[in-house]
Amino acid sequence: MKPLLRVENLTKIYPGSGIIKRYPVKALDNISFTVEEGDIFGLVGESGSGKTTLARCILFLEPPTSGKVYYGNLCLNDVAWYQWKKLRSRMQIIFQDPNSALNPRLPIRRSLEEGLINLGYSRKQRNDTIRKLLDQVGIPYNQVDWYPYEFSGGQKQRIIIARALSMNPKFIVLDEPVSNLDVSIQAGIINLLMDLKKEFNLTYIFISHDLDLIAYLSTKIGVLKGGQLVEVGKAEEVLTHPLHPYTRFLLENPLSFHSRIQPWETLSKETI
Amino acid sequence: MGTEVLLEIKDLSVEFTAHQRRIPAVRGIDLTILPGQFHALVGESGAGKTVTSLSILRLLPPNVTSLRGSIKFNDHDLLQLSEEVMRNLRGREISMIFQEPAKYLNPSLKAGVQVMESIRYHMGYSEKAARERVCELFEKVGLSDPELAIDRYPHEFSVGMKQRVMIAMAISCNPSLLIADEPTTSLDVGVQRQIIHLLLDLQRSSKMAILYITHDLGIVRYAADVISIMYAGKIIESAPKDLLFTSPLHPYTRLLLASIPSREKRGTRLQGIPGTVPNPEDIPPGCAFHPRCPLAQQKCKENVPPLVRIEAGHRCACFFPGKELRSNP
Amino acid sequence: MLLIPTVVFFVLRIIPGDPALVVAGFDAPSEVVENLRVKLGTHRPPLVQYEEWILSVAQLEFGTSLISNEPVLKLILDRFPLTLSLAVAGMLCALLIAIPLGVMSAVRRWTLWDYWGMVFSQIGISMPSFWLGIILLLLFAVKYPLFPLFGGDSPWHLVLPSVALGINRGAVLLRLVRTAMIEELGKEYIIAARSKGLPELVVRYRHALRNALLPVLTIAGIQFGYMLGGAIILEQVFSLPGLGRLILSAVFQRDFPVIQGGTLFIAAVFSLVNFLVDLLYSLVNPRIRVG
Repeated sequence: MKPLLRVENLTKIYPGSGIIKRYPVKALDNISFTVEEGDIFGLVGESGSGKTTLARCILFLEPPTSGKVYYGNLCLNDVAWYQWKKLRSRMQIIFQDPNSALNPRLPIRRSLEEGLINLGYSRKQRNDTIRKLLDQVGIPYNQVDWYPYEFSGGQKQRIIIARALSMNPKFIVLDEPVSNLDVSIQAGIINLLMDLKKEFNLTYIFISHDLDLIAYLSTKIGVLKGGQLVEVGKAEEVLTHPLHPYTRFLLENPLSFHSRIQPWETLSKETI
Repeated sequence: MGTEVLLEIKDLSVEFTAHQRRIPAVRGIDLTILPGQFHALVGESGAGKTVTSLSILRLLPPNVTSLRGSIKFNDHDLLQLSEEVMRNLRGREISMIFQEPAKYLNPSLKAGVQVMESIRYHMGYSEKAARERVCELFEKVGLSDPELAIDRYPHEFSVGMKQRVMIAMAISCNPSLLIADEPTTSLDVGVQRQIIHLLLDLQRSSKMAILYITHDLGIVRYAADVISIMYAGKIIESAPKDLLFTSPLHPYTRLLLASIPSREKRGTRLQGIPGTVPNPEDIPPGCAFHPRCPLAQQKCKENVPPLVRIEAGHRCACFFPGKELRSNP
Repeated sequence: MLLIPTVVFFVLRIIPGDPALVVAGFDAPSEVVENLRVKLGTHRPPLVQYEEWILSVAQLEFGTSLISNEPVLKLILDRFPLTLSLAVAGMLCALLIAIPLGVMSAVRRWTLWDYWGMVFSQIGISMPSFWLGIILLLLFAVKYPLFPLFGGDSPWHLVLPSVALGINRGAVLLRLVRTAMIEELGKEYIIAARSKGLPELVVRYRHALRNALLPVLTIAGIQFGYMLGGAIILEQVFSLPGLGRLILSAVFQRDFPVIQGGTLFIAAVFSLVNFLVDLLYSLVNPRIRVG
């Protein structure tokens, strides 16, 4: 069966800028991986690893310098500008900061409607859809005319998820969707995402620096370091038999809550 | 374990006024730190941890309208001291490091100069002597090429190195208490480890107590001796680390611990806590946690549970501590 | 750099008035005027004159004054130091007023100090410097003769005009200092500095002011160019024999070479000052320096 998404030799180089010669930055270096339908592809990387650049390039929000991205049979590199409109609804993205992703001057109803208007829904259809969506993400419908500032961070993220869902996507790229939220709220959002995945048969590309989180929910894991995909494979495999030293380094983090490494005092008797 | 107490906070309350509204950021907390102890203050956003830390050094912003209670440091109540005496304490007996070192270092002063300031002002060193001391300090905190680093500007350092400079600044006069306000949040994993190890080394070698403020339970599990958990301006549980993790008593603590994802929980649903963390402006009456608590009864809506001692060293502010929560579906 | 002389040249040619006529006198017979024109070279078509002008400027040859027959460059260089000193003195005055008052305003925000500071600033901005100059002259040179009325021989002569310049510009800079200080005092490194137990004075001046001055000095540097302009006007008020007066009288006398040369010179100095300010800023701001 053909994979839903196939990334082949994706490279992104940002040219240097300035009068004095500055070296160009290779944000992504020859990245290749596939994502099957129904996968949760967990991409783990620290700051500067290129994860956000990768998220943007997969969806062609930025064109890669070289390499190809295939969505099913379609090569995204070949899609003409006027064809993107329909295609975009299939692939959604959710970012880290819920505050900047919602227009603060619009009541959330308007933010949720925008995509639907573009798809040609009538007013009644829009209202019905929004009602259903808000219900699914756990926001009371009577708050539909509220402004973003009246909601908490977790609630805003739910609204953003609802907005993404309104487009009937096939897959969603999530770039650190819970990193800005409190721990107790994160779990709620994660549960929501898992429920929605089951109900709508979604595929996720989930990017995070939190290996515990990735280890919890991924079916497939990719490890990004310095623009390179240093390891990729089925989640169980990568977690039990990591091949790359960096992966091992991340897995053996003593600061992870569930780490099997003993806390400090027992160690302080030995050398670190 | 000695019986002398380094820092004792009793019934501290801090209230701000903003836009004609009273905001109770801290609502009566008790906290004790022993000499050389690593005491973690854990809480989510808005819990009041940073306000607590700033209160100790009296660095609160001017819109504070109420500051009550006592903060005893070696038996002197810091809230009663004059500003002059406080200045003597700051940077010398009690120091502080912060999150985002880039913002907390003066961008137009060299790193060495900023560290030397403390030394020269508090200990009266000459410039030459101070410079030597800074060199030693930089080595101690793990900065390579200390001689060169002294003359560098903050922006020339990486984030991890900047944090080391801040730590050098803070320990320069051998304080007995270091307040660390989320110093490793937003740092890469590798750098976090190094900084935590550095702090632990310093704690051990200088017998320096650390009040470590964070929301990250992983760090707390690894490094802390004692943990106090804050929620909506109050401390709702406090215990030595092992006790807290083996038998957490407060429902908030238990739910929080259950919310953390892990590999072992694959395929299961995460626990999570319904609702949202309350804003300091809208704290529910009675027990602030009651709207989100599976054990909440009428009593919890009307009365504020006091922080009481349940067993040795373990205190909890709940009317039903340790009661079984409904199991996970 | 080519643009400036071009503009200067053409602006002058547009102004009505024939230098030959002025030199010869308005009643002179036409042959005399014609001869003069030939001698001065103003009979040639403008484009040819322009070419010659550009070439000579490139060689730093500004020509000779039509009126006094001295080389223009010499005239300019004779007078320029005075104008420059006035501008520098004015800037110093402005800074001496702006910085202490601005810091006070920022630190004691919303108190009486601050309100008076703002009132003073408002008054200072509204008073044009030449008007202020006249007032000062009346007060301190006529009524209470502390200062000389005219002439430019000693530093004493520069006091009143510098103050006139300084108050006006200082008022503007005061607001800038205040805003910059308020912004710096709100920044996180100030909290860190206080947490070290440093005395408040050190925190204010060593930490906050140092950073606040960066934008202030940049603006001050750009303002310096305007100081030169202000200096020119004040030279007239205070009868100071500076570059401004030179150009002004040249305009009245249609002394083209002097006007051209003088204006060009000032424009060049202005550009140079801006360039130097940029350079200075990069020196002072360590972040840009390293690059």
